[in-house]
Amino acid sequence: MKKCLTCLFLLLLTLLWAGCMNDDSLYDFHKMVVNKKGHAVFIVNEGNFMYGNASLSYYNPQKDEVLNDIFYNTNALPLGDVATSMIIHDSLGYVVVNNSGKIYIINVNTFKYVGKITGLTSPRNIYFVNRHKAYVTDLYAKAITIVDPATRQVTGSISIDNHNPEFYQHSSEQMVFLGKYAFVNSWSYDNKILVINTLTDKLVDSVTVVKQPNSMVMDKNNKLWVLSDGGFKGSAYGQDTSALTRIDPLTRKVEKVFHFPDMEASPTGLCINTAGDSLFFLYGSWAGGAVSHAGVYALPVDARILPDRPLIPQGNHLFYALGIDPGSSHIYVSDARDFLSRGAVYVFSHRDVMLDSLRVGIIPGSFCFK
Amino acid sequence: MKIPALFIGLFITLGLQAQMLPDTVSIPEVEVRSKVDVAGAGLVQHPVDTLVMMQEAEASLSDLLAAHTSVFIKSEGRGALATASFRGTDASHTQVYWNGMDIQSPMLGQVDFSQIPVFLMDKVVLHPGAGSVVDGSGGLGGSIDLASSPAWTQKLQINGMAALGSWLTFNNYLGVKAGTQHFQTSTRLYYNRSKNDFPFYNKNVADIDPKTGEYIFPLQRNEHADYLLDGLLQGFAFRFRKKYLLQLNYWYQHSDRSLPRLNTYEGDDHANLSRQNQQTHRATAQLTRFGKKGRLDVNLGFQAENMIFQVQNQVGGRGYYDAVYSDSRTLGSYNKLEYSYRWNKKTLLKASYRFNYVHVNTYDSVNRTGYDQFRRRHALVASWQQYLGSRFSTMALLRKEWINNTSLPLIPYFGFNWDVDEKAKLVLHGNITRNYHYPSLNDLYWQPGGNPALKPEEGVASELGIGWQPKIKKVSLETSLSLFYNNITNWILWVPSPLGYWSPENIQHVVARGFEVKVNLNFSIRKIYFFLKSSYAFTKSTNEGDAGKWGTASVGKQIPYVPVHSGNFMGEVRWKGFFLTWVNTSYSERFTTSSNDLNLRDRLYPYFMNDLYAGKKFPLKKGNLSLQLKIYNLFNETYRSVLGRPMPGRNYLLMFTFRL
Repeated sequence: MKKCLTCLFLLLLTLLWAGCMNDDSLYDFHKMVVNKKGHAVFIVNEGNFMYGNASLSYYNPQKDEVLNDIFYNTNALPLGDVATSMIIHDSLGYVVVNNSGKIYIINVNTFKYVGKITGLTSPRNIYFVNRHKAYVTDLYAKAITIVDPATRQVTGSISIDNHNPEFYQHSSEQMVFLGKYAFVNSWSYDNKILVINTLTDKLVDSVTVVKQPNSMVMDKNNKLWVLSDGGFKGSAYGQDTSALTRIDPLTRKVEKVFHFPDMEASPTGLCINTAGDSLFFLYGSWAGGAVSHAGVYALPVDARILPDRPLIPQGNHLFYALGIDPGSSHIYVSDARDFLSRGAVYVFSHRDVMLDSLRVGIIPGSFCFK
Repeated sequence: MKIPALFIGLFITLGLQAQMLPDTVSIPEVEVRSKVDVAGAGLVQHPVDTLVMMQEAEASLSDLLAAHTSVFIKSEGRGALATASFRGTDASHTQVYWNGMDIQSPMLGQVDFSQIPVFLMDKVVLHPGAGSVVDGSGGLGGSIDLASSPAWTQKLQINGMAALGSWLTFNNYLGVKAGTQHFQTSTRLYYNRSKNDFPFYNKNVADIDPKTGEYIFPLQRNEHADYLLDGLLQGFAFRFRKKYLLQLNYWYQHSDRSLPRLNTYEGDDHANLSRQNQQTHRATAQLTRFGKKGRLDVNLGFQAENMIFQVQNQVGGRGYYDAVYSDSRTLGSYNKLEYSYRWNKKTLLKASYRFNYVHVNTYDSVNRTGYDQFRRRHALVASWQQYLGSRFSTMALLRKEWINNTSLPLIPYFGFNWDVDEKAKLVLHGNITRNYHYPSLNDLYWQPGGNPALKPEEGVASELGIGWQPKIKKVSLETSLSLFYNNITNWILWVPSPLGYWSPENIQHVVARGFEVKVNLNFSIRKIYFFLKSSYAFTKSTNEGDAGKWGTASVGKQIPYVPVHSGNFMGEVRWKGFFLTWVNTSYSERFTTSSNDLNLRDRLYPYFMNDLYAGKKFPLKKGNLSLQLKIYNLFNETYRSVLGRPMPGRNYLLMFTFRL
């Protein structure tokens, strides 16, 4: 009988030991406390879709300092699922977390979470019109959401639904402002640049471009440049050769179209330098496809033909996102590697000399320059 | 009458350990003359204990496998997608057969084990590693054979269960079977549903208290996670002209469930609403002709599935718009003709021809993307099982397959069993095979991103093991140890591209090796019966790919979501009809990145789950009743199974079972 009792006792001990999953340890840790002033670059790491492992990295080029997971380490909260962009406004950083339907607001020096804008559908980017009005672009809302940055509340929306029964239109991606107008590219199964009157918050016009415009910039001559990837092979929406289009935003007319000859090409990430006289973009293909001479391309805004060789060849890397530091004009390009491990960021001078390389978070997808 | 029955019995016994599970029909006249079991030569298989299956009858197959086998189950949450993987491989490397028919989705290339009720199965047999090629190719990790083939009866038998669980969970099952000497019928009906809205403190989102600045974590419910699973399984079996056995089975299932959002979601309540509705029809016909020395099997299988996946968003007060409405229809025909010839007591030869045809038509009416593709697969298989002496048996197998017009390289298999000590039941076994896993139709044709240039994944699997069942007075002890090595090249991985398109590529070389230990112990002390079952697996499954492509950080690292250590334990005590069962399932840390980064945010810390069952069985004149209470997550622990998904705290299921 004693033996039985001993056995039972040991069994109970094992039971107690077995109940030891300590979930609280993931949140109760010594949080990072910093106050990082001055010039820096935030790298927004998308993370894997449906993993909720997006993150934010910090890089100070002067001090060659890299801090990863700054949002989680400072706030003991995960950033969310698929962080797509960040913008700084009034010393606050607005980090858009697409598949979590929210925008986190942080102090850009301490990285502390100070607020959030929630209740969004599938936000992509946020743009500030004035102190009390910001626009949030969205992949699925068929509307541009209007928020008040002061109260962090949704105050309205601008419908961009075209009631097309064939495709889910319009989505909104990026915005470029000129005067009282905002130009918005509709990327997903679409070919429109929408024109919004920021005074009336109404959709007033649109410009048709090559299929799937994914990024836009305004040059020194106030010309709007639009990069279209052309869609994908087999799409019911059709596929165009990808193209770079110049639009006069005043007349809303297409002035010039540079077509990329290779149907496999899906260029992305159109950027412009501080002077507004050189365009940069990533030339590559969707995963699975392949193009010759993939890499970072540069093009003067007055060029007559597309360049045939990259400024920075992709080589063995998988270039994913591109950014130009408005202060130094340095080129930041990210490498998503295998998409399941921490990616890399390479920093080049504007003359393609590599200045630095850093390891950041999973799928580094955009840059925000402080 | 007795002679044909004897043949039937002998062949059934020979078939028990090897081939298609339909062979395992039990017929009362079974009589075994030969000690030589040619059909088991060199094969490793782990049947799940039928008593355990009865105890877990109301559960899903994913719950059964997680708690009682060394198969790793990756579960997205209660009632949600659950996939199974063997020995450090991917879920797509686990082939699943029901009554000999491949039930892996040709579209997705995997099976959702949360959608298979244990109640429908009479046998669940695992074939880890090389042994899977006997049933079919593609199981680089292994295969799972499921059989709905109840024991032969000549009377009316009714059994069923009614279970009521936490969060409006209802699991109801009814089975009726009856028969004569020549005919059997078995009907099983089931209806399961759950609101599944368990509460949880969400520590992945927080509001800031305006006064104190402290976080306020919301107490939320697991919304949009309800599920419904119902269906029926009808089986008939006929024995005629003394040497024929015909078995017919039809299984219809309807599943409707919400797919919850991640716990970091704070978007619009009326956005990102996902739902999946699935209707599946499966039918098998198996005709066996028993001859003096030969046996002919003709198996026909049919599967039709219609799956609708929908994502909705409310748009500006104008109602709900579909962002995705994907209607996928799958048709499959699975056929086998096999002849087994028993040359003598020590030699068994088999040859078979198999032909499978699958057709997938999938279309998203929102984005107007989809594909309409088919696949024909022919296979010729020949095997030779041979006893050398009375204790050493071997099996050699060759499989040749053609997919559409592509010829796959030959798949050879060799295995052996050596009865080292017959008294102590000390058996040494080993096997090696080459294997191929052809990409799923989604891998090849999904729009956008499908990659028609994908190569098949190629694996070489090998195993060496020992089993020992020593005779000890009043104690039943069963132990086994297996070492395995699995080398897989051209591993397929889906990777995203900018702006959200995903595409699969052959980019990984994986080596999985390790060992598995199993110990089962049964004994009694003064009419108190103890049943202890335990297993442990050590699995090192590492990425051996090109460092140039992967970066040095990922090469040599453990594959994401594969635990190095995994184990489970079941201890049961029975006394005068009362029983108390403790089930523990444990995994070591799983990594979510290929570089095995250690950060708290993405940490899937070691998992120790404890469940407790208690009940009493009441014997009746004919049959029995039982009442059982199951307590899941006994210690009410907050834990993670995958990232971003809440898991339920302590929950209960009260179950009434009857067998008349």
